[in-house]
Amino acid sequence: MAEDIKLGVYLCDCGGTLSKEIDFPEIQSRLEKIPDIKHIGLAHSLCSTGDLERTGSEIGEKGINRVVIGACSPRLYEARFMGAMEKSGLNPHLLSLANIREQCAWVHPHRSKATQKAVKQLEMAVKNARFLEPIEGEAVSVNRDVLIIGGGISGMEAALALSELDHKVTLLEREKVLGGRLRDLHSLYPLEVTPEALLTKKIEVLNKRANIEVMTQAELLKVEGQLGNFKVQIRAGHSQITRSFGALVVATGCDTRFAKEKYGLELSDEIITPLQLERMLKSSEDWPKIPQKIGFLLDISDEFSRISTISAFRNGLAAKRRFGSEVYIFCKNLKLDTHGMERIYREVRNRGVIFFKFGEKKPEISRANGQINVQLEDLYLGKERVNLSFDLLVVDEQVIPQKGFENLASLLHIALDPRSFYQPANVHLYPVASNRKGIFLAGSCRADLDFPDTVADGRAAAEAVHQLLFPGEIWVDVRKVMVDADKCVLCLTCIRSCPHRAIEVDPVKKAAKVVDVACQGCGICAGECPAKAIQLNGFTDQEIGVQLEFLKEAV
Amino acid sequence: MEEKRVLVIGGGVAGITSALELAHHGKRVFLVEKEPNIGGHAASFCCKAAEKCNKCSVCVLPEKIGEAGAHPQISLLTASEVREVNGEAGDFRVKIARQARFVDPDRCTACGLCGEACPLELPKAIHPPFAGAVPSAFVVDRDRCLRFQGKECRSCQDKCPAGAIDFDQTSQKMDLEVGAIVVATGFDVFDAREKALFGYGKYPNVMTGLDLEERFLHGGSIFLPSNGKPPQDVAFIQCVGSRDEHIGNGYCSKVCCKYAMRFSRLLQYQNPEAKITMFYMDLQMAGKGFADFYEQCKGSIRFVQGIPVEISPVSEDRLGVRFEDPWPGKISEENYDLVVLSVGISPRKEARNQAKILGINLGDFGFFDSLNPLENTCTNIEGIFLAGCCQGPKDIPETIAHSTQAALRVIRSLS
Amino acid sequence: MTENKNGFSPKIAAFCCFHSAYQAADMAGATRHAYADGIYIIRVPCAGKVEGLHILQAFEKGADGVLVLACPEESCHFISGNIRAKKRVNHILQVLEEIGLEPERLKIFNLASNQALRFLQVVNGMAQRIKDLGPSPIKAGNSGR
Repeated sequence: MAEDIKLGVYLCDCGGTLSKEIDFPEIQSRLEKIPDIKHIGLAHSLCSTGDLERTGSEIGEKGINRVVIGACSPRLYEARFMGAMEKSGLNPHLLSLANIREQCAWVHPHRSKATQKAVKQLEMAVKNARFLEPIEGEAVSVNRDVLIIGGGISGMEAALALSELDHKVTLLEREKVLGGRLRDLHSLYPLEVTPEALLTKKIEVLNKRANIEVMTQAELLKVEGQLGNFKVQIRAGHSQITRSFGALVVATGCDTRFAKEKYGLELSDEIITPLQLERMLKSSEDWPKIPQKIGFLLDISDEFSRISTISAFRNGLAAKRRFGSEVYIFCKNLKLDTHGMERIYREVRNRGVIFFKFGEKKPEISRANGQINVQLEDLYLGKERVNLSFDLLVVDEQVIPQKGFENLASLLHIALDPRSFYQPANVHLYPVASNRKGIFLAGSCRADLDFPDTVADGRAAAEAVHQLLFPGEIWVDVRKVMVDADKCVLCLTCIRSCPHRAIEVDPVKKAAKVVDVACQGCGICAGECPAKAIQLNGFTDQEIGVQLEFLKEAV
Repeated sequence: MEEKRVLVIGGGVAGITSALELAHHGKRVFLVEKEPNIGGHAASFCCKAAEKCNKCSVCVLPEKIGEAGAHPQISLLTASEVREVNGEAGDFRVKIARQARFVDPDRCTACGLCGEACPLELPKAIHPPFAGAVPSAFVVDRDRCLRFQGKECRSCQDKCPAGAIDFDQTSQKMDLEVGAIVVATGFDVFDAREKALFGYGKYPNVMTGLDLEERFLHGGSIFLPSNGKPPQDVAFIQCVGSRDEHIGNGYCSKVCCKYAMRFSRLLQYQNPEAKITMFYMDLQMAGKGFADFYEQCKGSIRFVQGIPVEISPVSEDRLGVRFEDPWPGKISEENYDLVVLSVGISPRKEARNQAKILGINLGDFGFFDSLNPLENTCTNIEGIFLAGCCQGPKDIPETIAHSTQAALRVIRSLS
Repeated sequence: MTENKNGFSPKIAAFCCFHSAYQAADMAGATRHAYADGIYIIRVPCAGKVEGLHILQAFEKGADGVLVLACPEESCHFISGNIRAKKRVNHILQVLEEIGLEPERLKIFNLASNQALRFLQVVNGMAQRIKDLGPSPIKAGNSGR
């Protein structure tokens, strides 16, 4: 270190209360022996405005350039201490905190032992402080425009919410029209509004908003950059466009699949998917044959899907109303955990839809005389086998990731969960965060959500984006992570290990470069680098290593 | 009003989330909480990780609690309740009653000297709220404290080096003007005593899901209250207080199937010999990541699709559970040493009164009513929004999404 | 309370992930339950920052035991840090075996931010194990250095 280290040590006895557990004069006398400590002070309430101001003035007056604080947990007031340092003109990162309260005084009942330990903790902090380097903050200006990938309900809701918050939004949709799966539905029961009416209204508002640009038949080709400045190449129709966005919202929805292998059946005129039934119910044309008896099967393709359940309820009732058909629903576990579903279930039953429950043994389905026969043992009827024939059998489907998910995930470098939906199954990301700053996920592309939840997701994602971008700039710590270009051999280990995809290659320096605005400061790259070319400021090898020095000394 | 001010009623997951979103936007937030600390129910929930995280999401709360407590834009008004709301969107005038808590959260440093000075045997009449509480100020237990038994004692007040204790403090009224209100008053856990046949409160080895949360959090593991041994034969009874027309709770509480399965795995992780049976109506397993977890549970939990009717004591340590075993179709009685009642989410007892004060409608089953299912944070009153379980049962990630939406609606209403 | 009759008080370096174990340690502090004073917590932003180098340095400088405390699996604040930490710890365990240091001296545990009790169990358990093992043989040969 070129400069002369002048340490200031500030102890706090928490309103005098820690003096019982820790001998502060003893600590002071031990620390006084250390030559580069220019000041040792004891405050009673270091976190208070008064004491903070006093501390700040002392730092200025005595030319302190490294601050060590022995007090309560940094989780409480670290930010305040840093603020005081900044006010006094000292870089706030030149602070080393010793937690002598929660991690010492409160847990070591013998005063002498607690004092010894506090001394050691402070010595660790002092040693650490000597190696601290200033970290400058910088405001990085960010683009407030947002790209939403996917024009289904989640995407549209996110677009509308962001537009209201004064963001320019580009809504990208792969198909010719917006709407996603909403277009396939004939009803949104129990909601009174029809899918057409809802879509028409949403699209009307979207089109009226000057700050929303809708691109249909459009596709993402390439994405580079980070939060605040994603450079995106889009194919829209026959042209290629390059744009810049501050944040991205992925709202590409899900797909469904008939698990033929679980049924042991082929689809036919009499065995149809929910989507095929929707189309039939949407069409005003007469059906070639009015179904007298319709059976719905659930929990065979997918035991965990809410979509199939609401679909069966809704379409069963619709078929009853329209054709007067007898409707039966076969299931294992009714998915009733969303708002109002129990009530819908009761209504469906009251209107004469009959439910049967099977257990581990799936129903046996066979064809006979142009009808589909379903046999099962019902939970309540027991050994008495139920044997029914249907004109029309509606199977259930698995909810699966949208077509093209691998491509999009790799374009965006976003991580998937074990079932290949976007967003790792990690509670710290819920509800709408991805592994990368500035990229959010909304709707059924990340989880099996019911309709109101996909709406909520879109709005939550909009709010998360708005929070990041609305000031127009983001405050970052510059070069929080430092790559030594001389040591870097571009093995790309760090780039592959970074869970946030925050590291890029600097073509000029021919070395890895951590992008400050995307970096989350975990230090995994520093830990992985085989050439020891990366250091995380504040937690460098020296700073950690020197804290271990206490181990050398005798107790 | 130059500064945009918002009142958030309730300091649980929902209230804290809304408050933080609004504070990050530069709004001035007043977070009113009737308990002495923020955190709500989830603050007394435990981590349910066995070999791996079981995604209960409780661990996302401590950092948020800390952030809310430290954020310069958020003022915590704990031990306080909203008594009156007048005015309209943009200009609400709120009267808040602040209970005398006797310990000033701005001065108390949680040093503990007061507790030592208290003349009572454990538990002391003045004690820390719970580990990680915000504010961290100590709390006076009126049931224990001699002063509330008509005796004179100021031992703790005299000992406090920060001058934080003042028994002369009386409850106060406070007036607040805000532009918008977020109602995040949460829920009550269903009182299992209403299901008298399950013997909760009568038989020591009958516990609720909430009891498990607290015991795991504070004790690290479960021991049978009757004999102090780890449970070997455990029964979980689902839908206690939910999906029950008889008591007017005709809805699914959403969280119970999942928490019961998580607890089952945790119990077995701690005690691999434990046998777990789950009595249920319909397993609610939809949701991110749960399918994989369920696959693990299938092998180790015995699932019985029928709810027991009665629990009776067989011996001091054993309970008899009477149920209809659906597949053989016969009435059975089996003995267990621990029965856990998976109690559900009920609207607050005070919800009716709160609705009156705010002028908002009650909806299905006594939860607050929202405008429509696609605007489920908006109420019939402009400027008043709902966040979290006060609008209907939700798990933690959904509560966060809902509360974020509410913040969004507030921002729109204030602009 | 962690001293045996020879007065051996183990020195254990505990690398604590700031988002989980460090918070749990603070909560444990708030419970006021005592634990061995030879446990020194070294704060890291993520267990994924802890390298084999640091663990070996700790033993080299005289640690009787080393703990790495990380978020629960699948709940890492930074997605994959705890997995990386585990791999490195497993690698160092092999190294310890090669140099003849008891593998019980190095352990990695997962705990969530609200698991105050688990923190106490882990550190007390470790202190007891190390007490039983005795001082690190590396330290014994290191006198005066």
